[in-house]
Amino acid sequence: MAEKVLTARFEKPESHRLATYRADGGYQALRKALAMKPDEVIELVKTSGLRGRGGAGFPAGMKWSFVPKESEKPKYLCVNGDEGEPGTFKDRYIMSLDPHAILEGALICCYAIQAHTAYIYVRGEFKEPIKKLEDAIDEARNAGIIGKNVLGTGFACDIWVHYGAGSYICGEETALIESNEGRRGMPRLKPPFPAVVGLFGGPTVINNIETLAYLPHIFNRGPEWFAALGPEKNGGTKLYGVSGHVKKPGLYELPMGTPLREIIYDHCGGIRGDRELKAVVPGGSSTPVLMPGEIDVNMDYDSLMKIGSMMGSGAIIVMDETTCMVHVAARLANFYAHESCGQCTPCREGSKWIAKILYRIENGGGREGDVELLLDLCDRIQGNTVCPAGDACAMPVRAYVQKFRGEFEAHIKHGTCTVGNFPNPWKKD
Amino acid sequence: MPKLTIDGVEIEAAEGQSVLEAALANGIHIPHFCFHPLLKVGGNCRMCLIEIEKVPKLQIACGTAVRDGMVVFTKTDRVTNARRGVLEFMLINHPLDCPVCDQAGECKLQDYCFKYGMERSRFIEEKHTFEHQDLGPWLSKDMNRCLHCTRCIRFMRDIAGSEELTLHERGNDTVVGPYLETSIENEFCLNLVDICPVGALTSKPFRFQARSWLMEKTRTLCAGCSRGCNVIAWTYKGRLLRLTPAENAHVNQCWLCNPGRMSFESLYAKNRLTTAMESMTDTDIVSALDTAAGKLKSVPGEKTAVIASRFLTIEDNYLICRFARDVLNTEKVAFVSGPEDDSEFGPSKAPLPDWFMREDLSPNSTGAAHVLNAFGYDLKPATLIEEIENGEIRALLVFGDNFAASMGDVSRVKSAANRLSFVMVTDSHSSTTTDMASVFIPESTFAEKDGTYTNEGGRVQKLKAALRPQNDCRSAWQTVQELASRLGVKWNYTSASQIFDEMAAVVPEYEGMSFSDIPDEGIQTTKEPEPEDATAGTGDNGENVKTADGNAEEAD
Amino acid sequence: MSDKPEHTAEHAGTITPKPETVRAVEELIKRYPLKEAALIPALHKVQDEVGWMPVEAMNWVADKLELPRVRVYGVTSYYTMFRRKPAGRNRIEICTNLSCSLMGAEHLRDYLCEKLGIKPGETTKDGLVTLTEVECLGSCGTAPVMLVNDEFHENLDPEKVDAILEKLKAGSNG
Repeated sequence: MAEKVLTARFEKPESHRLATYRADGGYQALRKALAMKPDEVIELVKTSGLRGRGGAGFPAGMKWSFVPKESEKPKYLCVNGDEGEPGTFKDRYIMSLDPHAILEGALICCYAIQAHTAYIYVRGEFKEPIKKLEDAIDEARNAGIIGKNVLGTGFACDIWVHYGAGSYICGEETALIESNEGRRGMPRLKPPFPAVVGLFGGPTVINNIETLAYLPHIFNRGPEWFAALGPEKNGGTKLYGVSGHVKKPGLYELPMGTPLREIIYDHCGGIRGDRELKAVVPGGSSTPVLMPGEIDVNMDYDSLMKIGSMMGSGAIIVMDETTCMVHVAARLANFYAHESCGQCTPCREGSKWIAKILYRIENGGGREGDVELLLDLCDRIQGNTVCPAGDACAMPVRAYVQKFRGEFEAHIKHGTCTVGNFPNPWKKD
Repeated sequence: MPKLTIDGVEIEAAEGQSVLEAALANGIHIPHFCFHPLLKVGGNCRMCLIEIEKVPKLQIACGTAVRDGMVVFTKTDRVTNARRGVLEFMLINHPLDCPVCDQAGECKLQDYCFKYGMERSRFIEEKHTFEHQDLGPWLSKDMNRCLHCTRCIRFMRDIAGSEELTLHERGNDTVVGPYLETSIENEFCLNLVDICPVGALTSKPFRFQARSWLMEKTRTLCAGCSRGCNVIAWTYKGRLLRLTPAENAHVNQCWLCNPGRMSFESLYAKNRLTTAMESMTDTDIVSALDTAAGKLKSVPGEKTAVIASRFLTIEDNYLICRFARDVLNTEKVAFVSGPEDDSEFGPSKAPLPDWFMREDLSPNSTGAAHVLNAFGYDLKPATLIEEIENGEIRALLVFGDNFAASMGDVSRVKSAANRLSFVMVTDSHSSTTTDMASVFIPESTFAEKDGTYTNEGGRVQKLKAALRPQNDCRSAWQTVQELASRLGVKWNYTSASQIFDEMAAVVPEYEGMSFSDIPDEGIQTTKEPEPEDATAGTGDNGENVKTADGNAEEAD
Repeated sequence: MSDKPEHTAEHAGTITPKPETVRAVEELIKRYPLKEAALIPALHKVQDEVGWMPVEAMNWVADKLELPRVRVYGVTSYYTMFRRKPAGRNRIEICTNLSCSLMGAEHLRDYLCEKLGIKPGETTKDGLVTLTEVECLGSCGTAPVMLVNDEFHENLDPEKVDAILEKLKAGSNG
């Protein structure tokens, strides 16, 4: 059985309390880090090879090193708890069951970049995780872990929770900053990059919740240990969230690089009802879908990139033979159109157009040429937008249409679903 | 200075410029909607996407800073496809309103579709439409046409200084609008009509009056205040239909205030006078001039007073002064130099960037002062009134000024005028002053004459007639010439240009200048004043050839 | 905007929130170097008290944070969690995004619509329930999922939905 790192404390009673955390050795890593120089902290994180777990997989240590040492404006850490990518449900468990791990990671990061304020941006719908986080912050503040004199070392750092209000785009780092500043969550042009000009104009690091939660372990047990848990350049464990048509959906902490087949068939018990696998999304709805013949891929950043998809947030969505791929594409296109911030032309107009075409096909109004049109529109959106949301719509839609082209064309020709028509799981037929 | 290559042509850029700015400054046109040289970068229309060597994705030219040695391509298939994509996306919800849209003919969407776009639409879904909203007396909003470029929002926030417009909702439902149902009445708001690249914001006062390509354009000056904004006067079938800003980085950048923009309406006001009058009765111009000359002969010249005007051109004022000196032989020449009380415009009603409209609501106080000083005329208007009251002055010629109101004491001026044996007034509109005239000669307005004004900052700029004068209207200098001839002094001036060149030889501030050499941007007669508050940005230094909406003319 | 008849100049007034809400907002303001950054959390606190976000509530927040009202208006209309129409006594928000859809969420939604006699976005005539369809709620492993008065209800099926509706009818909070 693979070692549990992040989820080790989840089963403990009162796992979210400071007392439980401390009894488990909590905040020792922070002490260690505070005794080092900030530069040394960054080097250690670089050595661990920790890559951002939010979706982009950017090396965390490198991101921290982009923050200028001197800065007229205060520096900030924004912790990305927006968790809006469909299929993703890992951060809410960390927030509810082990909030102190996040706080400790955040403090280590703040010390490394010499920021004295951190905001944990949590999506507004997560009322219970927000409560747990705020309670943990209160506990930590009362214990002198957060505040003007962290663990008595003289380092000052405050942490606050900032609530979102229903916008998937606020998971994008510059949109998150905009929302944190009290504005519409519309992404900014890059450059300048947040590490140089971010929250309130100051240098800002944005890290995902899961990324930060690994830090205490990295400092307690060493960066080399962490790196060795996974393949080269893809070290550590990963929280894989599996949903959809498997027998045992849920959160699985496994070594980075576990083969997808193993996750689906061993850990999750295979397809429900022992049906055939039809398609699987590897890393959240924005990642191109994989066919059954592609599931021997290792679930790490580099391996997935090689086969034309992405690790994303590690959210695995499994679809069996009863799934109508036209419906899947239509529903996702609808999602991206609904969440588009509306700033730039290709995404604002293009995602809605794609959604309308797919909806029309799904409901029997498909026409010859629709498939080519969809593919062309994806080409005209991808790479031409302010933020990756355009790609997040275009790449999956293209993958569904290309890989299941026959099904799309049959649906168009017959004016109706030729597969399973989304059966009602509670009706006996 | 960084050098970059665009489509094989090497150009030099300024430090900190974007690729788009560098291209436009060198006559290379990269299409764009949301970029405006005086607004913060929007980066949202995506029309200016270009290919840069060694950069995998296309980049927006407006948001990419120039680097020395950069190699840029704007004509590759990738760029062409991206542009056509953007245009197609813009058109899918854009209504085919061209036949009923005022923007037609000066619409960037039309222009780019014609140049870069697709012949047919592939969109067969239902178009997204928006509810109509009334924005008040100035702006007509057609949200269905909006490209969401946010120029209007950036303008209101950063230039007009009044955050009245914002984005509401999101995604494809995004709407541009004010708070609740309030109307936009900011005195700077008609600039939005210029900067909106399509017909989403159009001018209500101008609505539907003429097609843009049917109108004739004349570059001239606004006469609404001493700022001297440069304008384009648009005329059709002998009628002036609108004014739009003309670019002048030293004066008004590319903006106009609402009062100035609408000032042309005075040409058609109810109190416009275009026929000569004697004792308030219409008469023919020749007999009116004869009467005036006759009356002038009957009063000693040195007891005749002349009022010049800050509302008239330098040429008018020069010839008025020559008439006073060489024909009447009088020292009693004055003009009112202070802010106007009885003005067509009045003080601004709503917030205006206070760096913009001037308190002095006349176009040529500075120019008139230069001319009168050169002639040594320094009589104060108040003294002039006293001299009328004590009989020292027996006749009065008032050129182009509502003198009674300018003095701020209408009844005093009226009773003083009653003592005079003769009052002649020239003006374009009736007023308490014209009511006092025994002889009235009508004047051309600013839009119907050639000449020069010098603005508050000391810059002399040219006025060009957009219309021919109606009926008996003429410039004051022509009236003066007619009177001089009847009093035995024959002049041969046929143009404002001729007068200016003669004036330049004797008025020191204009030494060495000639009318035909005055460029569109004008010439500083005195040291250029400090640039104003930074809200408006600094424009460019005039190198770029720009039209009023701030966009470069096409290179081809 | 103009399709919302209540958004006229008559609504230029403000609400008077309870002292606890005012205190909560003042505490939030302390978290940020600029007042304006507290906008979204402050709007949440006010909505928690009022139950929805009328224009008068936005006006109060704008004035409290010294922001132009038009800006608050623009921000509120961007985020889906701010309800600009009053809701029923209870709110059900059901996710129909991919994972939930794969587990039958659309059928559950239709089932709810049938039982309540309304379409998504509407409120029952007796004001008991407002039903809305929402995007991914971040609980995909326990799909289908819905929020009932902001609380997560997971691993749903028609029986569980029936039980929830019964509780709501009986006057509890679900």
